[in-house]
Amino acid sequence: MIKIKKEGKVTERQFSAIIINTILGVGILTLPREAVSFADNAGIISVILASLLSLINLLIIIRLGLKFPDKTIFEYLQILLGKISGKIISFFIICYWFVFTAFVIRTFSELIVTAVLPKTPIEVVIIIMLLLVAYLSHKDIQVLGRVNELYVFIVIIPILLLTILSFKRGHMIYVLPVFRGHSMVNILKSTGRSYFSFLGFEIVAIILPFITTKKLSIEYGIKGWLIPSILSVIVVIASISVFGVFELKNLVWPTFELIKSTQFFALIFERLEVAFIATWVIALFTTASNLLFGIAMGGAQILNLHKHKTLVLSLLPLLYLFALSPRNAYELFNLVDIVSIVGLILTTILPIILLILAEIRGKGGKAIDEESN
Amino acid sequence: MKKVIKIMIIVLLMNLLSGCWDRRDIEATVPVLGVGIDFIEEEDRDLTKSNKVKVTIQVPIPANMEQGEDVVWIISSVGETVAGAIDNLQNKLNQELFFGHLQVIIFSQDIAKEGINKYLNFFRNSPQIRRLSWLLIAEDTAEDIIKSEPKLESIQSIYLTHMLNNGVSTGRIPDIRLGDFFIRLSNPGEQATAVMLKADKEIIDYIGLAVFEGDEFVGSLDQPETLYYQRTLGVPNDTSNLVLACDPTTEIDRLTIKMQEVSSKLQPELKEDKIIMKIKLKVEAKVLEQLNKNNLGREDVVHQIERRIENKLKREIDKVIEKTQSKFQTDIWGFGEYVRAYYPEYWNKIKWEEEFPKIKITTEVKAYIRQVGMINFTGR
Repeated sequence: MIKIKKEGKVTERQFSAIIINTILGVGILTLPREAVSFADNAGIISVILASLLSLINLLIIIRLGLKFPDKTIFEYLQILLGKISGKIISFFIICYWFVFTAFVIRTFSELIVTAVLPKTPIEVVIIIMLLLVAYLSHKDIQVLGRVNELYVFIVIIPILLLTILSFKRGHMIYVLPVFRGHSMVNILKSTGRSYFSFLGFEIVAIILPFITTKKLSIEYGIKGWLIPSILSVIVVIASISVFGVFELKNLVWPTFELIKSTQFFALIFERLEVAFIATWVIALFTTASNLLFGIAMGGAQILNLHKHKTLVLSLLPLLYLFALSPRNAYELFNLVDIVSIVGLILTTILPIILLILAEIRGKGGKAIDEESN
Repeated sequence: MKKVIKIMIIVLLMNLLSGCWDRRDIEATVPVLGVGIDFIEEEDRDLTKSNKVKVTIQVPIPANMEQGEDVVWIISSVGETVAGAIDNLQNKLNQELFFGHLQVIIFSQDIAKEGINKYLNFFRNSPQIRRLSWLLIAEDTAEDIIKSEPKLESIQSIYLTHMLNNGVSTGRIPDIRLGDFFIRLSNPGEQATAVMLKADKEIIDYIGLAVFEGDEFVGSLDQPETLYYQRTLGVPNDTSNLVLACDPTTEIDRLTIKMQEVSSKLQPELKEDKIIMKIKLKVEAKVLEQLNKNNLGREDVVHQIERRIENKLKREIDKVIEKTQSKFQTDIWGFGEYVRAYYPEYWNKIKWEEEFPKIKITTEVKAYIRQVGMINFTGR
């Protein structure tokens, strides 16, 4: 097997930044609606549960990765499951990421077209975004790390600020009752839906071999998980307190509406939503490029290519077609629900099976390194 | 050299690529500041046998801004739906209508009576409309308000928003905007309300609060009633004053007070499957004027005044609550939200619309006089 050259390294901070930026994508734009969809006011609990589940899965993936310190998931899948079945599973993961990326781009383009640029054809928005995304994924992991590190605050600060400002119009009475009068089934259903907004952390399975200090990966992994989780919870509480649960269910883009009804310094800063969209382009851009990097990397490792760059450009047309395939926003949301269920199953079940396998077979760790060298 | 060429290419590309599909010059748009929606005249309605709506819009004329005369242009058009009428309006205009600066949406009372939702849907669905615009109900026709000519400001919609914003900040007018209206429409625990206006040529008058049941207009609270409604929900008041009539049993004559600080606590209580809503109101008042020489400095007189404020407020608030419970039977107070928040199990069993007229509501008012003004009466 020809090994892909692991050029460049990511520092620990860049590692956290990559996790944060990959998690923060379009999920949070619809999260408040998804959270309350079944659980009503207990949506806050659902979001917290979803984020805890993603933490557990993240830690399992990191532990698994640490057993094979210089291999990506696509490489150790082949060691653990054998060549052919390993490749099949790898292919499945890549397909999932692929569809995920396509729908993430489509969702955001949909928002841009409905809210900001009504006359621009959605195709144009998608193409421009794809080109930009491809440009970054075409680069090495070092560049990816730096870009993520640079943008992480540009992404977090505006949404945090605007959400906190929106509390001014909130009523705390809308948030209650959080704990009573809800059935557990509904809370779990909402958890499944909210989980979509935390997907993306599985990118660590690709990034882990590149991190400079392996020991710190768990600590910085938790840091990378913490920021998006806190942000999500704040956004959900703010949305519920401003709109109330029943109005929230009517809104297609709850987070966007939340920012739309924010006003600060009286009349000077109205219509903040456009500024928010402008910064959120970056959040989306980093999510999509990190995932596309992962796809290209995985594809290269399955096909025994030397460089991941080869695949990036050839995948673009396909990505474009996939992004355009849903007819409208409603169909898109239904498909996104399916993707998020696949993601839930994939990120919850696969890592744990792999970890058990690695323990049983005694593979991994230093032993396997010596073996394969 | 190579670098220079590269940079030049980038600069060139920036010029070429940064075009914008949705570019619209400010001259090429017709910003709409106010929209009024009415039914068309009765006779016409009978002829067409359909409920057509008449949409009146208000557009500023930038060219006349300097002279300060004829600054706005008012046009109206008729259509089967709101969107249809706006489409017909577009036919009369050279540039495209733009609703991003919309300040006020005014509905006539008749439209509101028929159910406002179907006429409001256009505004709800459009991403241009901000949730912070005002939704208003006109007592007669919306057109009258759009066409009124206030003296202080040449654009009516701007005048209206200033008036409303000022009213909100001083606690006279309830802060219920378009977004709040939508929320109240969706929430089962509270009913929608909107500010009601009346126009008479030069004067636009705030006359009270329109009360809705679902999306249908059922009646209105007048201005003093709205004042007590506001106080009950704990909104402090800066401008309106409360006049206490002369009371023969005590030695105090008529006096005027101002409620500076109001804090209210709403607490539902469930007893034997019945909700008791407890309203606790704390008022800090200031005496503005009193018409006899009586002595504010005396401790017992201050206490007497406080009791009188309490009695008066309690009586008036009870009247308003009684009105909403028996006459309108709609919960504009948002008590249902409190019940939902504190007794979710009970809430799931009942239908709040049916329950609200039957619940018991107790009010408790505590008044304190903190400021007495500049005059010291103790010397007599």
